[in-house]
Amino acid sequence: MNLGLKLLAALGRAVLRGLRAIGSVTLFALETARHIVTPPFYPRAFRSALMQIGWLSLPVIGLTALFTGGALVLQIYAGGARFDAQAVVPQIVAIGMVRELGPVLVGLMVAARVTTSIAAEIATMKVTEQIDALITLSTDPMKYLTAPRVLAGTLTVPVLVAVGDTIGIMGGYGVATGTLGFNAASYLRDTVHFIEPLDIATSLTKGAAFGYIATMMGCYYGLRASRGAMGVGLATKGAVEYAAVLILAANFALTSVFFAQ
Amino acid sequence: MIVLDTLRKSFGSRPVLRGVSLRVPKGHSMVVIGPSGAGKSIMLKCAIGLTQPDSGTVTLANTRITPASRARLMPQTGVLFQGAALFDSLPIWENVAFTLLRQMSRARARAAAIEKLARVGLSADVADRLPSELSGGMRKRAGLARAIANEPQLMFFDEPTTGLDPVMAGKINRLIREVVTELGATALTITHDITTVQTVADDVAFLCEGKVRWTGEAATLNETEDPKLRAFLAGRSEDE
Ligand SMILES: Nc1ncnc2c1ncn2[C@@H]1O[C@H](COP(=O)(O)OP(=O)(O)OP(=O)(O)O)[C@@H](O)[C@H]1O
Ligand SMILES: [Mg+2]
Repeated sequence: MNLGLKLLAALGRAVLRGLRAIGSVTLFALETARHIVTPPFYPRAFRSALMQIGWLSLPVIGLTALFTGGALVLQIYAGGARFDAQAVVPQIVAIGMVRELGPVLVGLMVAARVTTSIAAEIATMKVTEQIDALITLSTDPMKYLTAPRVLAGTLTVPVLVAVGDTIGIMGGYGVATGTLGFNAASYLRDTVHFIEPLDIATSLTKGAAFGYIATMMGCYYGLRASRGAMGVGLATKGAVEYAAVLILAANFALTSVFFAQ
Repeated sequence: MIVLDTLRKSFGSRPVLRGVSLRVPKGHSMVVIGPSGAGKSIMLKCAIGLTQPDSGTVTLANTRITPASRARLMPQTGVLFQGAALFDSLPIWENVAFTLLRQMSRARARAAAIEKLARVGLSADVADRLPSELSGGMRKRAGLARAIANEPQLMFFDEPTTGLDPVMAGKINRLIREVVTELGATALTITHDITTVQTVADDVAFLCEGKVRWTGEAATLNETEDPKLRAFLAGRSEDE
């Protein structure tokens, strides 16, 4: 009985903690949006965030998409062979890549690459009093640090997703025509004809949402870092874990919105 | 004017400030001394509204400091942090010119920054270096240049001479005294350096175990009867 009560109390505490965290992240997300649209703006910080988040992420995103597209073709070809359905490989690869794998892979890679670096950078600033110094220099850290990064993430990750989708499909195309004997021209025609505007819209919308989440979570954990090197480590770990979970949850939510019948 | 009224602050169950009250009249320079860990830096952070005290109030220039009023007071406030707190992604001159860059062109802000750097004894060739490429004492001086760059009316310095050689420390002490007088500013300086007390202070406060144990004019410091302060100044612990 006593043990049962204790367990129940612990469960209650965990639930409350979870709810508090959800509330505080939600508030932070809304506050970030407000800071993005109200002045002052910091164009230099924004340009450097564009570079960091967008341009410098291209190589890793390209490679990830390329290999995944190739593997996807092999799997779908092998699976399809059981039903004599090898002919639909281009269509399935296209739809799988554009609707799901492209955005999710890019989102997770951005979480790995960008969320961690934002969290570590801002957490280091926090523990070395640079955030305090910003405030004494009449600069709002939300405006100077968070807003430019989150805006850059929201704008560039859809572009990264478009690039990832394309390279993934091309990876599949390479494997299909190179080793599985598909006709190059008809593979491309099937792909292009099958993808609908809604597919592309979903892909880009997901990209924007994931970009927002990935950068915002980096800032959230960075600004809340406690003292010392351990604080930086914890902030980075928390940021990437919860960014990844939130990205996958948002992916499910957006897929439900776009494709639930 | 800087007024701290019975500030209390605990971390967990450990009290750090146990009712700190301090009053720096307008145009005065107050120096706070006290043992390491006494709560001097925390007191300073409460004074500029970066740390919220558990109870007690802070009034700067007749405005009670709250998270909302803080933003209005910051443009007339200059702060040197104990660890300098330079932005490590920006070159030294952009650190110093951080607020100036909003008011003037980059070229003029840079020239102004180089002039401020010269006042703290840093030559123009450090301007384009990053903070990580400077020594601790050089960083501290760059932090001081940043703190006084926009000619604030309220100044807070946390150990301005720590890490400096005696000659440079003397120069920095005189500089602080000079800018405070020149601008008619109100200043609160924390130090472990007795030469800072001699050069910078109009008034002195001794912070010990989370309370102001003694306060008075700098000239009367050596006549104190307080046994803890006497021991502190003589560099022994009380029971020695
Ligand atoms: N964020 C914090 N969490 C927990 N304890 C803290 C925190 N900040 C400071 N302290 C504690 O408060 C006490 C006072 O710290 P403070 O930095 O004000 O000391 P100080 O008087 O400035 O010392 P020093 O002369 O060495 O700089 C210390 O015991 C420190 O451990
Ligand atoms: Mg200190």
